[in-house]
Amino acid sequence: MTAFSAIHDERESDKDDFTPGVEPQPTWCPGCGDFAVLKALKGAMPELGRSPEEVLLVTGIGCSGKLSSYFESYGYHAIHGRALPVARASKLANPGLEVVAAGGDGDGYGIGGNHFMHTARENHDMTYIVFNNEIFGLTKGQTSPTSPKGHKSKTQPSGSAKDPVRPLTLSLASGASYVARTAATNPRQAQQILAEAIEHDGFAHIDFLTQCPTWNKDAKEYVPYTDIQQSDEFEFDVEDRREAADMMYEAETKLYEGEVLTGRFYVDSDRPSYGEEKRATGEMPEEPLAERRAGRTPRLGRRGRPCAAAVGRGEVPFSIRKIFFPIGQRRCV
Amino acid sequence: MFTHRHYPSRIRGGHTYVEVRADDEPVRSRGDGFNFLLALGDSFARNPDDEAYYGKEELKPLYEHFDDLNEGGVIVYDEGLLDEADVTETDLQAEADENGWHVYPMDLRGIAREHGREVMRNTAGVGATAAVLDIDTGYFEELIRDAMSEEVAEANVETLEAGYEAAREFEFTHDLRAPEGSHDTEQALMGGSAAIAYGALDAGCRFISGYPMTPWTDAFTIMSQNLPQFGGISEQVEDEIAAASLAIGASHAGVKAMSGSSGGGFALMSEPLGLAEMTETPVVLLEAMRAGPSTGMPTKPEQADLEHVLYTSQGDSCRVVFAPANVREAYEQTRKAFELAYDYHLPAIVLYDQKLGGEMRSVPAEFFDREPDPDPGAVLTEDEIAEAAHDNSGKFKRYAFEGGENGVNPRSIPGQEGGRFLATGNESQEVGHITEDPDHRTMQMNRRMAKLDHIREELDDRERSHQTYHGPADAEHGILVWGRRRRSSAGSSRRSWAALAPG
Ligand SMILES: Cc1ncc(C[n+]2csc(CCOP(=O)(O)OP(=O)(O)O)c2C)c(N)n1
Ligand code: SF4
Ligand SMILES: [Mg+2]
Repeated sequence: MTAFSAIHDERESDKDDFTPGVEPQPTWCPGCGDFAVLKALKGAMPELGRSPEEVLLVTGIGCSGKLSSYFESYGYHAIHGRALPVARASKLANPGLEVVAAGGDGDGYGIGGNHFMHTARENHDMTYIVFNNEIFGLTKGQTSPTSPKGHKSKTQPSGSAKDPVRPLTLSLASGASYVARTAATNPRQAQQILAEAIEHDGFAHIDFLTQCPTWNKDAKEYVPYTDIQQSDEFEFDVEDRREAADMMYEAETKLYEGEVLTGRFYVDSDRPSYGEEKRATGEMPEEPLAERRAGRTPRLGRRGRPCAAAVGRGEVPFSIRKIFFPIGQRRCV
Repeated sequence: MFTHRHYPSRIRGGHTYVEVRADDEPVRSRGDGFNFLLALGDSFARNPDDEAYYGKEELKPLYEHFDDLNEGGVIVYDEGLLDEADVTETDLQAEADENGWHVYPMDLRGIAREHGREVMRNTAGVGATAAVLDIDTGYFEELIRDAMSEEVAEANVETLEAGYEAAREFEFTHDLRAPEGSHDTEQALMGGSAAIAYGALDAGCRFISGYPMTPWTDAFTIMSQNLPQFGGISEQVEDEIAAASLAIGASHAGVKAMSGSSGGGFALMSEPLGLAEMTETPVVLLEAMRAGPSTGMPTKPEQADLEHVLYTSQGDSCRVVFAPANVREAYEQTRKAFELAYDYHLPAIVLYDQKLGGEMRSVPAEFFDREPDPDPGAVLTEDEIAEAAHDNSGKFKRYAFEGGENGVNPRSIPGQEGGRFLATGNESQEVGHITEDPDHRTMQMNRRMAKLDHIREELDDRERSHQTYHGPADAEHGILVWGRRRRSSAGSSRRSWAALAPG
């Protein structure tokens, strides 16, 4: 019997199940794009038949990081930039969990950029939502890695001299197997893409354009947008790396010229996820690691009952003995 | 038996050596001086014209240790490689005469080339050592066959015997023998890093994440090589911030997890360490000290990071730090670290240095014959969660202000029915929601810090204490030491008492 009966539980759920009680109400500013992410996530989870307690939502720090407060599930509100390493270990420890990580553009493409690169490269089976508002929201409007060149802020009063990060290209080059961009102004597409990303086996990265009316007045430029899958203007094979790369480059360039292109940019459904790869090497157990630990009655094992040890001394594999007792059997001179 | 290894932070060249101290009485430290020197030099630090790349440094094995070689000591050196005439720092012959040393130059290089390959010079040297100290080469042969493939082992054994026979050609003038004796029980030869890894495995640790850094890499390697056999997972990750964060993530998901590093890498773990304290996520971290500041001297021991591990990360520290003094304590305290971390939901750190990590010493094997500990600490079952307090939205009060036994609220694990909560690095309300309310803050701080009082009580108990003293109980003066230095201090204390004693 599993110690985690919420996992793969067949019960139906609806978006209210993913909504906390009266408290806390979101503290995002009126008109903030972050509301759209929350709504899309609340919509996608019941659509996929997930229940709140099989979901672990790990967030970073920023206005975006507050998502875990307003979404009802197991949550981990980590530190700035470090949602991904926390999230991917939880997934390795218990692959049954539906793991979603989320954070801002500063969080994911700046301070946590190294983790982004490596989590994508390793293709961990999880969803990563980046709230891309081209600004540091929570710290009150400084230039972020995705702010356009020339963007003026309190810390770059004469305008940024830096070209912005190309998050889609970066994601593809790093190894993500699902890369999409959606926008807060397009809730239907957002929910669809989120649902797809969650279902995807592997690292699914969504660059979610979220306007910040408080600190980034340019945000209104996310309207109107074009869905690259719906439009006749763009012919490309979403499963072809080169074509995807070209499409991404175009979308990233056009974003700063006022044209918003959204949709799926790259989908590789064949690439095995990291968990599968690691299991194939024999360095990850078949059964979830967490399953063997949780659920035991605490404190009794050591303090009272004799513990039914998973690995008794007698069962220590021979090679362990060899490593630890290299001359164990010999008489010492 | 007691060993010490010394190596520079580079791949080629440099003076590298191992000290072995053996006695028929227990030995507790390196001690002063030695009786036998085998000087090899480095044949690979030479260019095709057989000139040493690093110049005189290569001769160091032959003259660097003269100050410590006891009277009547023995020197065997590889004259196939080292020319006594090149040593200008000192006059070997004159020193030998003055100190009554017995010098046996041997062409170990030639022997190795003839019977095996040049790299086997050390094996030839071991053979010569066996002859000089009158040790049965059978012991070495057994070790060689154990460690190497058949073909390589054969060449080595041949080289070993050749080294032995060649040394026997000398008319020995010295009067030195390997100490003879036997143990009552089976012995394990083990270093601190292995003892820590073994302690972690026996403590039920099944997840490690890390990034290589000397000297912590040893423990990380041993864990990585063994965890799969225990059904565990090892992850080498992009940096130490990730390493600590992964261990936290795995622990949050219900697995006993650890990470670690040495000085600089541990500095990168500061922020996740605070996160573990605030979210009350159990985790064990190792800190294998090396000489700092900054990159410092990567392969040299120093014990200067105590304050670093005690206080790094912002705010009040809520953690436990262990500093084992020897191999047994390394095992024992690592287990204790896991026990406390998982019972009290806080980070526990095991602090040691390159010396303790790398020195091999004999310990009775039966010491390690303990029951492993699969206990996950303060965790609830789903039935228990159903009985526990929830808010009106059904969120579990993981951080209830009241706190359970010892201030600890047993936790739920993601995936468990009825246990959902938010863990956050912010100050939090009972179910984990962020708060800035002064009353919440006060209650949560008091509850978290109270855990330390209970731990202190538990550890102050004389039975379970990890503090010890040497010397008379009514001493007027004392020396306070922590960690690995305890042994040498205990050894020197007799001298020190004499020096300190008034009139
Ligand atoms: C290590 C660290 N550095 C800086 C901060 C301060 N800080 C909090 S949020 C943030 C940036 C937020 O920007 P972004 O990630 O884009 O999130 P947004 O608020 O826009 O959603 C910064 C710099 C912090 N919390 N931790
Ligand atoms: S500051 Fe910007 S990102 Fe933050 S809540 Fe307000 S509108 Fe949203
Ligand atoms: Mg932002």
